[in-house]
Amino acid sequence: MTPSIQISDLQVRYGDTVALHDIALDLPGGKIYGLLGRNGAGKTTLLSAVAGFRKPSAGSVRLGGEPVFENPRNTTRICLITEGGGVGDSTDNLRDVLDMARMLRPGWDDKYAEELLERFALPRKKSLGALSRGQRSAFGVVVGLASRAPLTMFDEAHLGMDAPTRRLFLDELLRDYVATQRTFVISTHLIEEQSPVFERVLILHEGRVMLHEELDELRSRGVSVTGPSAVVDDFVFGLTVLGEERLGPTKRVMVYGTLAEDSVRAARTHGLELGPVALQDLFIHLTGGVA
Amino acid sequence: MNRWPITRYLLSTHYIFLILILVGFYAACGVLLTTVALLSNISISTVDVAAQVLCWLALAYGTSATTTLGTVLVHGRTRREFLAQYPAYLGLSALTLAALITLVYAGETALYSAFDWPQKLQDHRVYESASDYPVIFVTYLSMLLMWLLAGAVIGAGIYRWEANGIVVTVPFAAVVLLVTGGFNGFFSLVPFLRAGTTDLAVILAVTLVAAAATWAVFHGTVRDVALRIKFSA
Repeated sequence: MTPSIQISDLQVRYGDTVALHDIALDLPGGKIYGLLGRNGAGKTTLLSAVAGFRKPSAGSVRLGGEPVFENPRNTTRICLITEGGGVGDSTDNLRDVLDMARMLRPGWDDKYAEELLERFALPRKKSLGALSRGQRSAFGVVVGLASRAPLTMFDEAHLGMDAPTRRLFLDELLRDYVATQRTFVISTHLIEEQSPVFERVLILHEGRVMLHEELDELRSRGVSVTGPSAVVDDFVFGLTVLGEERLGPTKRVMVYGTLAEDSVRAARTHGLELGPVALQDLFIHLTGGVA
Repeated sequence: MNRWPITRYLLSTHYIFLILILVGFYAACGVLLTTVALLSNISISTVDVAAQVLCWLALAYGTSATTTLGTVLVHGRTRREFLAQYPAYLGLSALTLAALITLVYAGETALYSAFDWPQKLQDHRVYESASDYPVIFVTYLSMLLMWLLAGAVIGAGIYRWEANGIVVTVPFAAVVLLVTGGFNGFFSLVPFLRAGTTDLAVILAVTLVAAAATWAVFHGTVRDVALRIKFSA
């Protein structure tokens, strides 16, 4: 069974700066969470506290009902892979890092790690420092997935990867998720690319939880309206516009909020097409817009 | 589940690395000795001169303790486990390296005797001759332990408090090394701290007390330290 995460009144301070303000979350296990937030929103700090990398200034983080910080029963069940790696020394070759992970992690799956090395085309004998940034990120993903940790978190772990490798990362993550039902948390700025794998979305803003809901529920907070430019402009007049695109005489406008039944009927009468909005547009709007 | 996973990991990697470094170091000393022997007369113990480099190598390696802590945290272990298991590795390493160094002294003594070279030792050494093996072993054990631990404290201070850590830990490390240096003959810069003892029990007792104090400082510095997450440029 995949344990749930309980975060109560979590506060993390760096000197006088409060990075996280009384975060309270109850995250059921066995789901894929997307953690979104602008730069400096507190995503990395939150993940560090959840992984036990950092002691909370106040409040608590529990996994399966037990504290995380300095509790080996839980720290061995958590794996956080960050963009900077930290999985080994830059002089270590990849095989050495995997050997180390095998010795330190009780749930380590060496066979799976070997398979992943093949799939990501990573050279076992090369040192971490000799890898390109994208290869280092891919190796972090290998370590994270092969940890088989019931709670595995990736913090911008895709940085530097090319598009096919990022696709492979998401495919492997989904494949493993289906097979093991472990909990994944993916912190990312690549919202449109990675959101298709999310089940639930968490948005942090200025150190606070702004939103925590199902992806579909979040998507239903906005509507895209497509049709002839003038008709669309008339239809969206007075609504909160998140963004717009134009292709010749056709215009697509993303609006925030759900449409009333009569508005939906009016749109159809005028030949307008209604659809979902991009999560990224919603995210930008919810966190204060572009300015 | 494996018991003592951190110690086992360190013994299977870092321990071997340290032995190889020591072997390489003495191989380089051998080359130097051969070169000098071809060009000039040998009058002093090469191994004993080289010891002053070993101190600084031990200090430099000691500073990596916190980096090792960071890595084991990433792989799911805790600070408490590290603090319980790292000393076992450190102690075993110091014992092994001290034994190897003592063997090198024995080898050098045999070589110098064969060529009839004088084997003069450095001033302030506790051992009176290069064949005083028990004292050589204990003083090197003391030196290695203390310089490794001093490095660990300095590394931990910098890891936790950055530049401010140097201000706090370097003076502490210097005091500890000067005091123990007075007893084991390494880093005995301050005349009034030179104990001039060859009593192994005293050297060991001073070392153990100083090591315990240094470890306590290291323990206090890292027991709840936040893992620094590095970001690539």
